Amino acid sequence: MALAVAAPASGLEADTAAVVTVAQRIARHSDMMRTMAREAYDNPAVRQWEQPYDYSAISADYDYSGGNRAVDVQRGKGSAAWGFTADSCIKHKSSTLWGSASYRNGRRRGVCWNESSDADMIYPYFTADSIGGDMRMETYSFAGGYADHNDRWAWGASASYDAGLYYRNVDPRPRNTTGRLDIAAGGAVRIGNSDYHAGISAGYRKYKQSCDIEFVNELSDNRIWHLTGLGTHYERFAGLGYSHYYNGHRWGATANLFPSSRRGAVASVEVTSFRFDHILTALNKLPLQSATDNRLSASAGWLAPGRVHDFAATVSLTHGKRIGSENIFGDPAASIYPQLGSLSLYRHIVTEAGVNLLWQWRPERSALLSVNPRVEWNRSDESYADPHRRLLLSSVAPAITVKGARTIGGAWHAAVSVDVACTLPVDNICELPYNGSIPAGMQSTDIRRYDILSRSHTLAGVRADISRAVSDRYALGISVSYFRSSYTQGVHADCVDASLSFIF
Amino acid sequence: MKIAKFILAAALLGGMSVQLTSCSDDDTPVAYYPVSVTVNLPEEITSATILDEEYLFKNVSTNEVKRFTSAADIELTEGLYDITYTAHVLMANGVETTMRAMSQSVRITSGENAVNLTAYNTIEADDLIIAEVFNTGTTNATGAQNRDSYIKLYNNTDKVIYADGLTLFESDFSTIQKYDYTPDVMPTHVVVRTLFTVPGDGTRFPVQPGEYFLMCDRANRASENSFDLTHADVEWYDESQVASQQDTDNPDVPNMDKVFSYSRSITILDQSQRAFGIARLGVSAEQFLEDYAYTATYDLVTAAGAFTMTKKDCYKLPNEWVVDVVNISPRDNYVWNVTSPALDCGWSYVAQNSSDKTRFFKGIRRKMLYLNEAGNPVFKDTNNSTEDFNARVTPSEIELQGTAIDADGTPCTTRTYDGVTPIK
Repeated sequence: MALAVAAPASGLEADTAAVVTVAQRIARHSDMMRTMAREAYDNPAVRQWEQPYDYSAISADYDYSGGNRAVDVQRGKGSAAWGFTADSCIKHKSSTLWGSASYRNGRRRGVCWNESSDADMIYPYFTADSIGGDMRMETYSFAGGYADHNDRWAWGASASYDAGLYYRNVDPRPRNTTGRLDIAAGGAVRIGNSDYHAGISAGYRKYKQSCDIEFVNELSDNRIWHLTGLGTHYERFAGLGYSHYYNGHRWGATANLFPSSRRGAVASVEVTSFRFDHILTALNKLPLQSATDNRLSASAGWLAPGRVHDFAATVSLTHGKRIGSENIFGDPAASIYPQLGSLSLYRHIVTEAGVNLLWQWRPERSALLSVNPRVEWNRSDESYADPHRRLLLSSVAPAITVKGARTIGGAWHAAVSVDVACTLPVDNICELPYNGSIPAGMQSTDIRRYDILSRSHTLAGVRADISRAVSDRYALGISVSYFRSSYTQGVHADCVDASLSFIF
Repeated sequence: MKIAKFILAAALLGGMSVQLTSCSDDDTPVAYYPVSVTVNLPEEITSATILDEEYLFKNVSTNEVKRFTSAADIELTEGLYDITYTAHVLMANGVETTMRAMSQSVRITSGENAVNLTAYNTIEADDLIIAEVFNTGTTNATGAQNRDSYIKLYNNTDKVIYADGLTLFESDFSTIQKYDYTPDVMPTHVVVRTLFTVPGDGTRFPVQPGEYFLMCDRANRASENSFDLTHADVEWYDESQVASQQDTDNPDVPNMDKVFSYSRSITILDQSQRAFGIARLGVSAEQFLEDYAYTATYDLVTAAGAFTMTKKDCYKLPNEWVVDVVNISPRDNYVWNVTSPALDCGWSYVAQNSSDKTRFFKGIRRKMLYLNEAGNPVFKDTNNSTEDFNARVTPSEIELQGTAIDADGTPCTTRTYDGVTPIK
């Protein structure tokens, strides 16, 4: 079976027709060139050029991650979950329709000093207790989109909804429900007679997380704290606000340059602005805290697929700033607290820059060797204004992935990849003086995180994918992967993932 | 050409983004504002020499305390503060004394801030002090309360003091619920809802230096998880008007004279959210009830709107009659002190929150400073309950009698002077 490797300019339909069997589609889908311009696909109008073939899969999988010590206890030691996922991308004439649905059920292990969920979304305003523990989780997600084009214009829209339920059946008993709705719409115009398209898109996100914490044992230590970042908390409302919620909105826009042939220059710029409020329901919806997260991402690169060799190179830059504000309240009158003002005390500035290279070689038509070296520079600067606290972590992280794939006998397809990465500290600052009026455990979370992440650490892993076509249209696949992260002082974490897929 | 236009548009978008994410303000996002503090001194001290002074600003939101030793150059971030002022003063007659002032919920805003404090001279009262409040009581294994609460007084002086005529009172205002009462009498009075007076003609209940005076609810014998109170000096006994709720009387222990109680049945000390104190009434009980009734209005704000409410069935006790007082609140629900800072600049706690089921078997005890030559403890008395009391500690009667420290009946094996300092 011949593998379609080069699509003619704007020849989407022809390319689709060229990739007909499921074995061909599996081989094409595992091609690393597909992901080299992933930033551009945030524009749903551009997404239709991500893959020029139909590809659907239904998977059952199990993943486990865990270590002997949590790197960040507020995010836990790891997790274990099983789930089902369905993904589909269907081409019909000039139209592309995609969708996905998933269900996951599992457990997040060893979470301390954080009873809220979606930590990366709502940090630093966690609600916490001193006990913590494992947390059960169930998540659902649905996503879909549609894109189309004619000779001049391309357009598309997408929507997704993610919901989660997180809870614990022993004290303390948090029960968090999360909901995230994302919608996006975009358009692109063909530039002259080239296959380049210039596109823009806009997106909106609505986020809400409702939380309740209950203690059944009335004789236990049942105090909760509302954290404000870097080991501080809002003392005045400690022990209050067992019911609370986070309410957020995000706006975003992208601008893209993308060749529909997936050959040539690619560029994307994305800007997002996310704001959320943390509100204590139990205190007449008291708006305790809010945060604004503005982020700019830009990437540019060159894709050069060939008959024997593929080359791709991209550079990327992300700069984000999160500012957290705490509202100040006067004396309550009948349990209603008048808001007097607001102080912006927490600040987190994130800067990331990376270079990503890819070289692929086809010694024969059914074999592919990929080498993906890359390097990333990260800088995370968190600070709290009064009392002054600061945590700066910056590092350079070179990494390489080497992958070999082969189609055997027209029915089997096997791929094995090896990943090696290391993170080297560049500049670190830890200014977290001990405060006797704050629980020691609360203050130690960031110090422990610093102790681990301020030293060099490594990651190594292997992944194997095997699939067998049972007909021209259907195939079964198995994937397994194992990664190990090694940190200082013997701290390590393992990740195992296994999945069984039905591909069509 | 069109590619160039696209690049230009992308650059513009990127430029806007950089503006959005850049350090638009500066790297010192929190501003500090000057605070000018004026301390109004009491008349007897205006000619005295201030040896040293200390200003403590506690940020109500964060609990962060900033300390200044001079009123000059005080700068604070915007917020709500509790301010405490302490000064050591050398008076004209050569006596050294301590002066205090306090103001709660002072708002510091952008710009200039002026704060006025009224200072009080805290010359040691020559009377009994509250050594311990055990208002929560104990419970038996089924969770039923044993009604064994008590308040223990102490003679911290070097002379005999008679407890006769001393009135135990409980505030009417709650430390966890603040209203703007009209008229506001708190600067000069304590609004009370319970008063019981120690009987006697002035010589019946002598309290020797270093001795305690025990006032209890029911002077009962020891029962499950409880301790013996038949050795109490007095008990407060109610002749209940409710048939189903009758008090018990130990005829061997004198009853206190009931001046007033908010309860028509039996008087139980509030579990956590009042001020308790002792006073010597300047008038007879009858005269007090006739002349010192307090009626006030306040606004109750609810989701349905604001309603003007009337407070009645309580009395106002002049501050100058008050011998000692301690404000108590659940730790997490404290809102305000219900007495003037001239009486108490702080507060203490037994319960961690309003529904704390672990509050039983715990009380507050005054901190011991040292043992005097006679071997008697000398307790701290600065009119600041936060500083003066050990919060949420094992009551002394439980320690002395080795009775239960929890509902499971675990016996107490420790003995301390103040709930913390062990007796060697």
